[in-house]
Amino acid sequence: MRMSGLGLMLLLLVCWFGLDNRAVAQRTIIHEERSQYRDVVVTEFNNQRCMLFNVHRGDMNQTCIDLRDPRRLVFNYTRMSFAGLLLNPDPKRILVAGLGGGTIPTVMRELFPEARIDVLEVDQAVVTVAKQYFNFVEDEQLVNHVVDARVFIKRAGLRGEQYDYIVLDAFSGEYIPEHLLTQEFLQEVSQILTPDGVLVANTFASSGLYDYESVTYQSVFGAFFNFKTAGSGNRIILAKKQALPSAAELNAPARQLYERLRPYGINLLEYPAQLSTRPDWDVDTRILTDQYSPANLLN
Amino acid sequence: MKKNKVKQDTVKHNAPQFAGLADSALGRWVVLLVAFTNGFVIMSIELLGGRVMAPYFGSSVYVWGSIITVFMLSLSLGYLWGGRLSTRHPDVRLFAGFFLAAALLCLPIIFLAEPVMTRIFVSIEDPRYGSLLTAGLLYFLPICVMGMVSPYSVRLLVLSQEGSGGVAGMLYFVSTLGSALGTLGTSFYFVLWFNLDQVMWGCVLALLSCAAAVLWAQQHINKSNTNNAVERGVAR
Repeated sequence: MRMSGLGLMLLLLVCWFGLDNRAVAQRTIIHEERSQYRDVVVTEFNNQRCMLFNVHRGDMNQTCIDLRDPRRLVFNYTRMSFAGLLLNPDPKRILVAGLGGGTIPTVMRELFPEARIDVLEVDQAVVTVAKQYFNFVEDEQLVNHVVDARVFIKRAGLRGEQYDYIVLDAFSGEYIPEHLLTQEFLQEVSQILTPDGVLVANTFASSGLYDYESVTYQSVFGAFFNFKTAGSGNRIILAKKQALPSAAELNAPARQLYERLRPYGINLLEYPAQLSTRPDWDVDTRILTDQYSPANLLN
Repeated sequence: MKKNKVKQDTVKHNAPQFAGLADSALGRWVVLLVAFTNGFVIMSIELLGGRVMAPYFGSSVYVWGSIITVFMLSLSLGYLWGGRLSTRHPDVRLFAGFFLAAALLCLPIIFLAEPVMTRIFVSIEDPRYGSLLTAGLLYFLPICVMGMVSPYSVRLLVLSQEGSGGVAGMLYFVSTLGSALGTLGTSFYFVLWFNLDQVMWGCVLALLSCAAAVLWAQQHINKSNTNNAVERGVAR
């Protein structure tokens, strides 16, 4: 089982590198922004504009927009993250950790003009690029903070602030930073989540960390919805502090929001049937804590 | 000043014993071994520092900046003071005392890090200065004492002026090699196998073992010296 998994990974890696080399050859780099962390590169290819970190080391698209139809969300996982609306159809205070090109906050801003949205991005270069190349606009309702997500969330907890819709989408070039994967961090997130609020976390569907992440989320939030689709390598975690509704109860909000989300390429009606609360991970895995979080070594 | 004078006398009195560490192969090996361990532990603690502070200040580049600044500053002052002490008070027991003190000064990193960081987090908004102050409070003293070990070891092993460069080079070699392995071991393996605090306890134990090894070597050498040599007033 493990060996075949490894074989598959290797095969995928080979394919990926093959594709990657071709893609890089045809891509044009239109901008490079110097960063304190890792340089941010903007490329254009096939009418898609993408933001990348680590171009030289097998690049990974952080975010892409479709230049012909900027409203359409290019990535499956970005669309999947809006499944959080099934659990809270009318968010008023939204927190998004990880800006990227600003796709998620921008769509939320359009969908919920009354909501107050805080975005956390540690890298000023990403903010600059998002504004210049990805139509990210700040206003009095949508504010970006250049800060480490852990620091902002801990401070918000001390101030007693709460959000009813939290999206964790902070990725470095490799994966989620280690200090944003621990039980203590999730407890801090839970502290700033309103009793009926929803937490949406974007993770990878197949990584060495999958089991670790799953048991850690479970330890803080109890059962959560696991959302994976065939067409995406990402897994979205949907968690609440209160008991979860049954997946069938989510059909009503799905129908309600379907029309509003359609322009973005999100088919909300398909989502409820794909949510599962059944653990498909080893429940005896060690929980990640601030004391033990070798996350990126396990990946 | 007066106290100094008394010490000076003790030094002269102890001088033959003192040279003993460098004279015997056992003594030389022990000094090299503890210098190696010292280098190992310093980098192990430095790497863990990033983990200790991340929950409060993030893992941004300035957190590493704070840690490295404080470590470099502590070591530089440690070298300066350790060097001075080695001239004025060369004493094997003091050398062992450095390791004991360093071990004890590491305990606040285990027990006081949380409350200290909470206080600083609440009172300083800017994570750059918050992390700098935290690093200073938690790491300055233990790392400074560990810095004192290096010049002091040189003093313990140097027998002649012409040999001094070679001795210093050998000590830099083992302690920096220790640092390299401490970095590698901690970042590649220890964080995968242990909790942060368990690795810190490992560092404390390693430092205590160094103190014990130095004292044991001194005693061992004294004993054989006493057996071989004429009766001396100092020997018990």
